[in-house]
Amino acid sequence: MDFSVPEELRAFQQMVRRFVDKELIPLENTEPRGLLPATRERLRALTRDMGLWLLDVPESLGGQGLSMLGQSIFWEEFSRSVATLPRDFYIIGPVVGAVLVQLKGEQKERYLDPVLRGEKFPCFAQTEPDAGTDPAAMRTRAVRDGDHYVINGVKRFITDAEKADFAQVMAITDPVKGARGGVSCILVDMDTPGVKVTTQYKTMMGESPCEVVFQDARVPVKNLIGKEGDGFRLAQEWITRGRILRHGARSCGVAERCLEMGASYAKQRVTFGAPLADRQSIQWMLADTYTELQAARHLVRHAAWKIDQGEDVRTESHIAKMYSVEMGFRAADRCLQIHGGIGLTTDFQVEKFWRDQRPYLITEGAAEVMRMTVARHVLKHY
Amino acid sequence: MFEPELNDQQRLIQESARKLAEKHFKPGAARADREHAPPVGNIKVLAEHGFCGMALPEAYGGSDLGVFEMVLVIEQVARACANTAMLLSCTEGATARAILQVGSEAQKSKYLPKFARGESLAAWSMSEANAGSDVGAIETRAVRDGEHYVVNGTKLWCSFASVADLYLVLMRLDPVPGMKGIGALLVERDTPGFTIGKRIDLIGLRATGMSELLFEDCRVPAENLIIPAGGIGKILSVLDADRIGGNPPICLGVAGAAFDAAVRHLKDRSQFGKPLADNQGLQWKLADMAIDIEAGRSLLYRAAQRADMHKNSMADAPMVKTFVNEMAIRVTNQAIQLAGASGLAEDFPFERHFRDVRGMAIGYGTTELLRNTVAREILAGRYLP
Repeated sequence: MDFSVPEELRAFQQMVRRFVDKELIPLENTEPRGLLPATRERLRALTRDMGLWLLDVPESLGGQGLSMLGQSIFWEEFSRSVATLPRDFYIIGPVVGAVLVQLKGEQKERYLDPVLRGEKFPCFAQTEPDAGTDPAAMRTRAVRDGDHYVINGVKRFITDAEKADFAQVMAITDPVKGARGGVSCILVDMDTPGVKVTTQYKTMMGESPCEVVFQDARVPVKNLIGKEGDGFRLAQEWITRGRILRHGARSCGVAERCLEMGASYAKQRVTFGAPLADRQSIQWMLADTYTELQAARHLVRHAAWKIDQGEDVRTESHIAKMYSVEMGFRAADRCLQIHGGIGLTTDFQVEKFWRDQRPYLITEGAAEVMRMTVARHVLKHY
Repeated sequence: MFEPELNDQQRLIQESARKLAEKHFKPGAARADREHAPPVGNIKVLAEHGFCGMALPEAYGGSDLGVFEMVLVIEQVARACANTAMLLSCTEGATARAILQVGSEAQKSKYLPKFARGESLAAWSMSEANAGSDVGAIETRAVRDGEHYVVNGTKLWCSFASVADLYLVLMRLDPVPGMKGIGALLVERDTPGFTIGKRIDLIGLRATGMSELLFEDCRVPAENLIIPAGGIGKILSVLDADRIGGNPPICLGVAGAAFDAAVRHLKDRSQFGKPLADNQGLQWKLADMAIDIEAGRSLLYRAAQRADMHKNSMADAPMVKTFVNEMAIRVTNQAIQLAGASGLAEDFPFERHFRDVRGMAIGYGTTELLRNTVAREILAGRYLP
């Protein structure tokens, strides 16, 4: 078995690392409270020229068609910096995702193509006040009325809804079938009468996901993606890839940078006449982070590689996410403790890694839920 | 002998602190954190009910109560508002105790009664950019000049800086290196040459008014000397007083608040057609949190009672602080997890509780430093379980 990064991806990895070191990490000090608009535009143009846009989009659609393994390496490298908020991907071009990339015909022209061109901005709306971990408890209804669906319901904690041009909305089209074949994914323009972003929830990581209320919002039937009842399958594809890349690989990048900062600080900070790095307790913290990072990286890359082989990765994506996000938070927490007082100040980047990482143990499948699925797998196969 | 039950007086004190805090301090707690605004009005309320400086002697306006009673009150206040508990603890924390223990009669009569009346807040300033755990590395310099000391330097991480009017500042009084040269002066707020620097924002306890202190040829009256050069060893015990009576009860109170909120959430919230509380995995998390809190409470209460009997070993304070800090981090972290996405939102208290306790494992003595102390006591044969 060869576990090393394939030859053809090594140059890519180096390129992304250089980009992060040169362009992003310095901004952590020069623009610490968020990137200036001019900086965001400059970086977005730069990444386009570097070929970092549309990594997950097939070449036939104008994307890079990068393998999942390649994408996992990208997300690991990109996540070494906290210059951007954790879910703000503006500077790496349009965010497409597994659902939109499947659109055909008129839907493709009206929704996918404008996103690919960077003209329109999507969001993904599944979570509701009563349906987080249990998406089957969803209540948002889409009722057929002639050529339209009439949508009523409330979505909560929807990232970027306030900026989005349209939403991929998960709604119940068949209440009798419910979770089993009764949920559909419908494209909804955010300026549709009856669609309103009512609140934004400020969070510990500095982001403000939205509440979106649908009140008798009439949406053309032709905005249905796939068939009625396809909703969960589509959502599953979106979430599975996200778990490996934006949770799993991300966490590895976080841990890598936390190791860099922790080791560097420990070597340079002198107390009682000796650098912190001389203390065994500090050494063991670094050793633990390094060891756990290797384990997480293997889990993530293995899951990514399996997708590239066309294999089912339901369990692998669960354990890759579950293990990596917890690993990443431990890495950030140890790094914070190594830095002492300066690790606590908002002037310095350490606490941002800590605050940004914590939510990943909850969003898009809490660690407990991951364990439920893995347990089912174990009890079925052992 | 460890008496686990509270006597009637202690129970009354605890109950009235809890009611006061719940009514007056809890409603404003989230806003104080969001706006980084120290809730100094709450000190007046506490003073009116006799809770300020309660561990100070009656002769100076206190109630002669013990560390144990102080722990009971601070814990209850922290359950409602951690920032208020921090402000309260500074009316009888390290600075007040140092003045009580080694201050001149003039200093005691001048400052202590004001703490007890809630009219004055005291800050303790030790840390600098190059001196955190390593107090002997302090660089702020005080040079005697006639009836004054002339002070130059910058202090960092000074809690209560923006709301205090009296500062006990550790500085180098003799040009000898290490701890031998370190002593302390009492600096009043409006002393020329002394400025409160920019606000320091931390992850948590954001409303304690933390800032830098800047000294530029600041002339402090010589009579404000409180700790002579090399005398710091005598009052390290006041730091231990904070390590039992200041920091841990705040952690314990916040952990309790987070725990209560988590239990409520598990009962109220349903998924998959049943309350979250019906899931064994989550039930066990609650059980582990409760066991953790009780262990911390036992360790803390016992050490506080021993403090009042003047029977603390050198290992007591570091053991208490280390365990209670890490317990509070575990419990508040778990409470966020149990609350799901709501645990991440500022509208709920979970993430604030976690942020508030995280720094407690670094301030007042890092858990690393404290573990070194415990190990030293063990290996020297002075700690026997």
